[in-house]
Amino acid sequence: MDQATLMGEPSGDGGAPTARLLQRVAAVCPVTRAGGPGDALAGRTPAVRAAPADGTEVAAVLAATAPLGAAVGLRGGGTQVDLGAPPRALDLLLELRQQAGVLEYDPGDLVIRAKAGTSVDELRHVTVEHRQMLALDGPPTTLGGLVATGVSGPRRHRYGAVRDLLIGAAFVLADGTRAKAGGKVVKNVAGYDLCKLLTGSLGTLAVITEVTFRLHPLPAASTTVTVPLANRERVPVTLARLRGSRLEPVAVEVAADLHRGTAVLVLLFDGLPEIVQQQAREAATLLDGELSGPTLPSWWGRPPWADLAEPVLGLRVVCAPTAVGAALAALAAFAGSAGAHPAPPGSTAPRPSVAGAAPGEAGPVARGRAALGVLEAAIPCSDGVDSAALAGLRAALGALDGTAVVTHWLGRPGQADLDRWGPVRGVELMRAIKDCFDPDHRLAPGRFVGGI
Amino acid sequence: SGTGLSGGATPQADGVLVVTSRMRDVLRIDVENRRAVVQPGVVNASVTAAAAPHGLYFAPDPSSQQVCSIGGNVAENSGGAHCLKYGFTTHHVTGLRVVLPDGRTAHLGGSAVEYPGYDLVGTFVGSEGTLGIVTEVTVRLLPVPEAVRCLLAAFTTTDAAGEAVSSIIAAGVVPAAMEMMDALTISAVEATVGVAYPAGAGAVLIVELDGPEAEVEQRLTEVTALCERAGAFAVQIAVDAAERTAIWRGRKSAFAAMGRISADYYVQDGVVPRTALPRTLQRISELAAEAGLRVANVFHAGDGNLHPLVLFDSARPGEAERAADLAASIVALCVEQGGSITGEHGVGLDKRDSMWRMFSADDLATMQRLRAAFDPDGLCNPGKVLPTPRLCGEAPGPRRGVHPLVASGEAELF
Repeated sequence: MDQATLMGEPSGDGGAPTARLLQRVAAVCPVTRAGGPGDALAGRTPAVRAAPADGTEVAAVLAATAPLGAAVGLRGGGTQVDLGAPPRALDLLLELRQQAGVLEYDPGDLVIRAKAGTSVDELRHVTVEHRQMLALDGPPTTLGGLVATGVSGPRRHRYGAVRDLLIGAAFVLADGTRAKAGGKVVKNVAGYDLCKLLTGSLGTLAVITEVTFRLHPLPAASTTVTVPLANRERVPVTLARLRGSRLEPVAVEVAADLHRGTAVLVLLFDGLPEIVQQQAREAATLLDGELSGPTLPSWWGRPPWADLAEPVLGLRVVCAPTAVGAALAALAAFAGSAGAHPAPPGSTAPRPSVAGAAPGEAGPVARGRAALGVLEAAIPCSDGVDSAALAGLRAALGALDGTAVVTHWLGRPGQADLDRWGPVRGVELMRAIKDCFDPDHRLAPGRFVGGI
Repeated sequence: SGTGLSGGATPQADGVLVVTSRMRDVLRIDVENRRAVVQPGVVNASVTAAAAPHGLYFAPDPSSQQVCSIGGNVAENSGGAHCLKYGFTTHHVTGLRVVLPDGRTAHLGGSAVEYPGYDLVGTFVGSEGTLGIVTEVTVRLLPVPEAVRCLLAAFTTTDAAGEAVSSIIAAGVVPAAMEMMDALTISAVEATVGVAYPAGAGAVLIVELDGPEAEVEQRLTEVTALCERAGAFAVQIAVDAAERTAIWRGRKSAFAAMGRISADYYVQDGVVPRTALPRTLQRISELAAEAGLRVANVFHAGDGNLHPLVLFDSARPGEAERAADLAASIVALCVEQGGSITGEHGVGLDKRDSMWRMFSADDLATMQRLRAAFDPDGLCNPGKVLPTPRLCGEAPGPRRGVHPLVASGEAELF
């Protein structure tokens, strides 16, 4: 749906006249001002920036601005704002990080309810006192950001992703309706699982104001085993050997240098100290690896595009679990093709933190949950991204029941927009859901699949 | 398979009942990727049977698993005793093929763990047949654990058993299952299947551990000590598969055993936070005493999912109504304690009008938006899950005032 372009005063990058918008928002939300360059979201500057204090103010702001059709963007910690496509329009930026704090936590229940602006780090400080943890080890975000992006880290292998750990949420719809889903208990099948719907929705369905997560006990001990592989082609056979064993690692991470063709597997074991040591020794023997102690590699849980100089293309590739080797090969082919060029030697790009990379060289890398089939790749593209090559990558992945989503691309002047998503199963249903939740397409318009 | 306990499959008089029991093929098993693609009429236990030769199994194990279908498991997001460690159906489904109410088909997800866009697979699981009809399910299979050990601990009270449960969880142990039965259930089970629990048990706790052998052995020792520290006066550790089966036999026949000690019974399903279990059980016994009825308690102790069995005799006038009222009070109690009106059995028809206990009008209207996106004409399993919209302040209860049909002369009130 197009934003109605109203005549009148100059506006931000949407259509609603600034002065009227500012007035309406400020009337219900004290912390409001005109937007500026520091408020830009994926290249668009909003006319107005507001920081609602709580869910009531969020609802009031959305309700007050609905008649204007104002396009709304959301910002928590601001670390994942480039995850979707740039917004088609942005009149009003809602800051959410100030809505922080734990609301309810009974360690006996291993459940915690907190405001969505609470950072993952703040939550960790609270739960660690009771020897508990939120078992998500991806990039540090706000809790609302965790849900909106649905991004998790290496421990997903054992503990699950955001969708498996989120058990309740409170949120506000585009018309200001306040609602909640799920609850405070893990076993709960009352009504639709809207928490699953919200996870990964990139702010297109609702503004999340509260979340309830299930926690896990902090393990008594943990340790890692590192398996260096001279050749990326050894990844599948190594994983097969692991799969055939009775070992139960908590994480199985692969880090691959797509240019040189080398890779490393890092296994994490946690639990009872003697058991952890025993499993680690067995794994090192079985896989020809080394005991590497409890310290995690510096790249653990970091999106790889954060390590390379711009312009870099970030991709999220998910395929059938045992197709990881083939997916890495397809990524390497894509990286080596006309679609991607590593930065020239001697560039000031930071060294990628992958075993085997030489200092000063910044080549394409891929890391991820090797036993789940979830990879994140970073491919330097100084000459831009070849859309045909990207389509070729997706075709190759399609044969592996795999997909590739662009998770980072700051674009290049003059280049046509990338297809960030590729083919999306069920996209018609997704559009129908969007139309039912946000008929005026005010929330994060254009950031998601299918033009949503 | 018609084994649902919330009336979710109750047909409409003027509707079409679609039965998927003839669609019962296991289409393929992908051993390497640990996936199976099955039709909705495949019986839950048959998935595990098909996967067993490859050392794999399907984790969600409702008590009705010998009869219930995968399609039903998807509709209800079924759990089972082992969901404490392994989750429920939604954690084990990666793909669906569905037929939408207007006849269009949709292919959602697949064998990978994630796909671009909204999580339509996760949204669909647990939707109780109101969003479409599932025609194919891609499920996740797990490797059979290296070791399984089981123990039964007897306590004088459910509170003591609850203490043991809390300390086990606090110690960082994640048992595969933790089940509790109270004194009334124990006596019924003993009379029915001939198992003998330690005499004087006010509660028994079954704890099952699985995983790598060395870890299981260590955890078994730890759990035994924790049970004893909480006051267990007897702990039986199963030494082989036969003893393990014997320990479980009582628990698995608990519902049916009610038939020995009561003419009728009403199975309830509710959830409370684990820390609220002691006061909830106390309150249930008070409510039961007030109603003059007996309630036997069987439950998934690890996650606070209760199955109070309200015992009554429908031959005695008014007793069935009192039993239904007591069951409804228990559900209200669960919500008061911060829990849920249903942990596994679903909303269906039975709890549709209890949804307002947990959710506001806006919450339910939001769920209705999702339903409208899939089923704008309201064809799919109408009347289930979501109550008809209420006017502000309306609540179920005895009618106040004259019924319109009585006023118009069309009906007579006895």
